[in-house]
Order: sequence, then C-alpha cells, then structure tokens
Amino acid sequence: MIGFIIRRLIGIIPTLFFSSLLIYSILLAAPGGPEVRFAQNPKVTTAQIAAFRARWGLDQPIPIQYCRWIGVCNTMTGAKQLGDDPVGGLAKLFISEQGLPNFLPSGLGGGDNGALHGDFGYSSTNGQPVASVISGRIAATAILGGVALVVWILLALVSGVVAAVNRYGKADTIITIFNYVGFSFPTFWLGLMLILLFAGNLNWLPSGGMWDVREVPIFGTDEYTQLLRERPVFVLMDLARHLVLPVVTLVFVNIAGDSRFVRAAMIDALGQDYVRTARAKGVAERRVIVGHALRNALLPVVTNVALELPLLFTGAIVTETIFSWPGMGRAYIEAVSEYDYTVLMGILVITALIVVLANLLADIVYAIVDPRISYG
Amino acid sequence: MGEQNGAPAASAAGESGEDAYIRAEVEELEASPDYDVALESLGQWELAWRRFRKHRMAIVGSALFLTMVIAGVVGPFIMPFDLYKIPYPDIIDSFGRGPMLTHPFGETARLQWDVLMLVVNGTRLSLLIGVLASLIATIIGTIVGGISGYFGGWLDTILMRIVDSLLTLPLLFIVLVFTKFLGSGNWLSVTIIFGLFGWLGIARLVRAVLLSLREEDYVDAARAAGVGNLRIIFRHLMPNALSPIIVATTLSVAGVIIGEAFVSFLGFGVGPETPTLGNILSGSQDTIINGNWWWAFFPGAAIVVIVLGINFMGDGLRDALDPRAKI
Repeated sequence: MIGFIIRRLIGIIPTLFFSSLLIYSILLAAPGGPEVRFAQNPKVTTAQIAAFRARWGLDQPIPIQYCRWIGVCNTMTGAKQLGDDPVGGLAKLFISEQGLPNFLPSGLGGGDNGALHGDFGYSSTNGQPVASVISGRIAATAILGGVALVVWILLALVSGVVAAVNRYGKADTIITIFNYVGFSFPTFWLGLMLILLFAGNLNWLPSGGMWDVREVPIFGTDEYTQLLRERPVFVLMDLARHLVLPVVTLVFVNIAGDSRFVRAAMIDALGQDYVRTARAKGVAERRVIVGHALRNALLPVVTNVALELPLLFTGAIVTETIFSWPGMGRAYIEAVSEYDYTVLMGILVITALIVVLANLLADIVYAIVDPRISYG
Repeated sequence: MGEQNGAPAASAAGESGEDAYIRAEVEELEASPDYDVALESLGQWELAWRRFRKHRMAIVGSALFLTMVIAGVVGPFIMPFDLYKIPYPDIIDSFGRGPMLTHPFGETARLQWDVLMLVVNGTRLSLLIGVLASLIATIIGTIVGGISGYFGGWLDTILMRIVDSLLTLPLLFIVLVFTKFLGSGNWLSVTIIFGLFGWLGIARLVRAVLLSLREEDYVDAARAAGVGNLRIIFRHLMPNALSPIIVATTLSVAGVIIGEAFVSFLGFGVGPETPTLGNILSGSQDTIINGNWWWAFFPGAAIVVIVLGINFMGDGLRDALDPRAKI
C-alpha cells in the first residue's frame, strides 16, 4: 500500500508538469495580456507599457518565462536573452545565485523563485504575492464547500436509498423528477431566484457576502478572530445566516448526480444473493437495507465522494460570484477579468494539484473500504 | 381443427400445470397489441420509435423541447418589437415595468427592452449554439474515438493522454483564452470553442464501444474480405455504436446551452449585441433585489424548460435505443 502511494505520488509529477505547461503556453500564446488594462488609459505611453512588460519579464521568450515560473531557471537579468550568448547565457539561466542548479531547494543551494519553491509570483494588478492571495481566499471557499458537501452527500444518500428501495414507486418517481429538475437548473439562475425570494421579497436572509459588514470585521483578520473568541455564538450565527442561500444553491444543483449514483449502487446491491440470503434468514427489512445492502453500496459512493472533493475549492465559481462570497471562485473570476496571469496560473495549478490528489485519495479510500482490492 | 391430435385447446380438462401456464402466456401475447408488431419484423428504428412513444417522460420532454424550438424559430418573426431598435417606451421607467398585456414578460430595467422579445431571440441563438456545437463535437469525438478504439496501441495511448490533459482545463479558462483568438463576444466563435472542446466525452464513449466491437467476428470477416480499416470503422462498426452516440449528442446540447449561458452571464461569452439566454440575464442581477423579478425569471425559466426537455428526451432515447429493452 505504501509502495502504491509512493508510486502514485511520483506519477503525479509528470501530470502536473504537462498540465501547467499546457495552461501556461495557451495563456501566454493568446493575444492580450496583463498590460491590456492600460490600453484605455491615455496617460500610459507605449514606452511605459514596454517597461511594464520588461519588468514583469513578459518580453522574454515563452519557454524562459515558463522555466522561471516553475523555478528551474533563475530570475537574474544578466542571463535573460536566449540569443545573447548561446553558451554562457543559457547555462547561466539554470544556475542559482549560489552557483548550484536553480531547481534545488534554496536550503541546498538552489534558487528561491518559481512554483517548485512555493513562489507563484506576484499579482500583476495589486502586487500581492499570489500565495497570499490564494491562502486568503481558500478558507472562505473551504467553509462554503465543506458545509455544502456534507449536506448534499447526506441528502443524496437518503434520497438515493429511498428511491432504490421503492424502485419505480411513488417516492422513486418524485425523487427522480426532482433530480432531473435540479440537474437542469443553471446555478446562477437558481442563485438569483433564491436571492429574489428570500433576500428580496421575504427579507429573511442576506443577499450576499460572508459577514454583516455593520457588525463584524473582515473575515480572516485578527479582529474577526478576536470577535469570534469573544462572542462565538453571534459570529457563527452571522456566518450561518450568510451560508444558507449559497449552500442551498450548491446542494440543489449538485445533489442530482450523487442521488442517482447512490440509487444505482443500491439497486445493484439489493439484487445480490447475500441480500436474498439475509431476507430468507428472516432478517428485518430495515436491517437488510442498512446493514447489508447500504454497507456494500457505499463502496462506489465513497470513491465518488473522494472524486468530488476538489469541488470544495473550485466548484463554486458561479455561486461565489452571485452571492459575493470572498473565496477562490471570486478570485478566479477577478483574475480572469483583470488578465492577472500570475494569480490565474497559481489558482489553476493548485486546482490541478487538488484534483490529482483527490484522485489518489479515491484510490486509497477504495482500497481501505474494499478488502478485496490490493495494490501490491 | 386438430381435435384428434390432442391439440391443447381441445383437451383443456386434462392439461398439466405447465401446459396451462404456456397456454395462458401465449393467449396473453396474442391478445397484446404488440403481437402483430413482432410478426411484422420491424427495423430497429421503428422498434425504437415504438419504445420512445411509450416513454412518458420522453414524450413530455420532446413536447417541452419542441415548444421552445417553435418559440425560437417562429417567435422572432412575429414579435412586434425589433431587436435592433432601441426601445421607445410610452412611459419612461428606469426600473422597468412588470408583466402586462403589451409586454407579457415585462420590461428590463434601464433601457426597457421587452423581455419576451429578448427571450425568443435568446432561445433561437442558444438552441443554434447548442445544436451546432454538439454536432461539431460529435463529429470530432466520433473520428478521434473511432481511430483510438479501433487501432489501439500507441495511437490510442497518445490520443487518450491528450483527452486527459484537455479535461483538466476549466471551461471558463478555455472560453476566455480562445475567444481572444477567434474574436470575443462573437457567437460563432463561442460555438466553435464549445464544439472544439466538447468532444472529449464522446471520444471516450466511442472508443470504449469500439474497443469491444472490434473483437467481433464480423470485423474479422470484413478484414478477411479485404475491407480497408477506415471502411471497417465507419461502415461496419460505427452503425453499431450509433445509439450511445445519439444519446450523448442529445445530452450534450443541454450541456452546451447551460455552459454558454454560464460564460455569457459572467460576460466572457457571447456579447450583448446578439442575445442568448445567458447574456440577457447578465444585467438583471443588480435590479433583482429591488423587486424587478421578471427580467431574471423568464430567460432563466426558458433555459430550465429547454434543458429539462432535452434531458428527458435523452433519457427516453437511451431506453428506446437499447435493443435489449422490451417493446
């Protein structure tokens, strides 16, 4: 098992490499760029734009830019042009200031720039380090995604089991129709309708945001943490009120697939011989369903849930936009509209990493819950 | 006739339990309306159509979808309002007036567009984008999946790795970057992008079907008769993979419509000069909290009706095209 995990972890490296290379080259090959936001500004001259591009390294050949972004090349300006000095310039690119290959950890004499060293660069719109932009947002997204995930998995389990047990019955039909409707709802429209109904007409819940701006300081600041310590009930209730609508949106749209999945797995399990044996022995129906069928039906479900974990961090772009939730999805949309390539790259690569790790987790969990599986 | 031969019908008194069971089954089958059908030896499409007709959800879905198609095709021509003329309302109301006789779906805020006019025009373009992009995706997916599944080996490995890596690209990223190449805001370029990146699922599906089909005896027979590889793929194998392809194409129309609505709503897809069901919603968010619900409600409801119709239809098609299903 340990060997399997290690082999898979090593297998992640080329996947991430190709994924980041693909994203990076497509992004930089496209016309436009971070300087596009100066295009409408009459005070910005062409010379200033050229200086901006040079300072951000955007005038370099794309392979060098990528090489620097990932941290194999250094950022020293002395060795910047590919054509300058074919031997010395190229070789100097890969050597850190300490005279060793740049990709090594900085403690071992490598450089400290690039994704390999945990440095995703700086946002080209506000100059913040990308890592801090992302870490400031990831908590909010994890709260929203985590609550939504727990609710929708529980509901999917219950509705799937009920539908499977009453297959083709009334409950099954109702759940099926509900699932189809949920499946057909555009997320952004559902969010708008919920805002209209519960925030507009009924005025029960806030229409957006993560905290009440009049009462609570900004999430993530020390003041917020302090208030949370002093008046935990008040702050958590405030958070809960802001969570209701986005969570309902996410749950309603995402439950359909899982509910159908649980239903199919459960129908499969209910048709197995061991269920018939249990019934023949006179085991109570409730126990047959929960103890015998569901326990086995959970195997594929657990895997499916592990595969959905990345949604915690990435799946809520629309929901976060509609409800002004200060998470990764919003950061992504902002980076996209501002052509903030560094932030965009950081988000996309971290997303890819989470997806790959979730796939690995799914395999591991599957091996743990199903004793028949062995990965040698 | 045949009483002397001890025909079952004549010796009802002496028949065994099994005979009685068989007789009852035969009588029931003969009485059922499908009996003559079975004798006629129907083609698979006729059988599929019969199964589809009996699928209640499929019929409801087709009706919903057809209604929206008619609205989208005929609607723009019979609307009294012109999409290319800025509205000239009799009463200025920047908040937009609610549904009434002359504007059954109300008016938008600010410029006071007629929402019904926007919805029928948006329906037309959204449907067009959905169908066109799905067709492009199906053609590419069928070719790539067919080659990958039939030849296998390193060609298959390379093609599937490409599919895997393309699958990691988020939709919004793809649309954002590639509209820069093809012209942003242009509905045709959005269609092409959805077509060029929507084939991944269909390619995987066709590949999986062909991987099992290529081991069939009739493929060996065709190869022995000297039929070329491409002809085997597209003439002998593809017809057998047609049912899953049809279902996947149908469902992908719904996927494209929702995806396009999503990117256009955020302002990265089709521009406002050509209304789709997504981009006509994009201004409605700011006024919804003040009670202008009709602007956001009707275009979104149109999306739900179309997508629900397509999903029901796809489900019905899946059942109807399954040759193992009973009539």
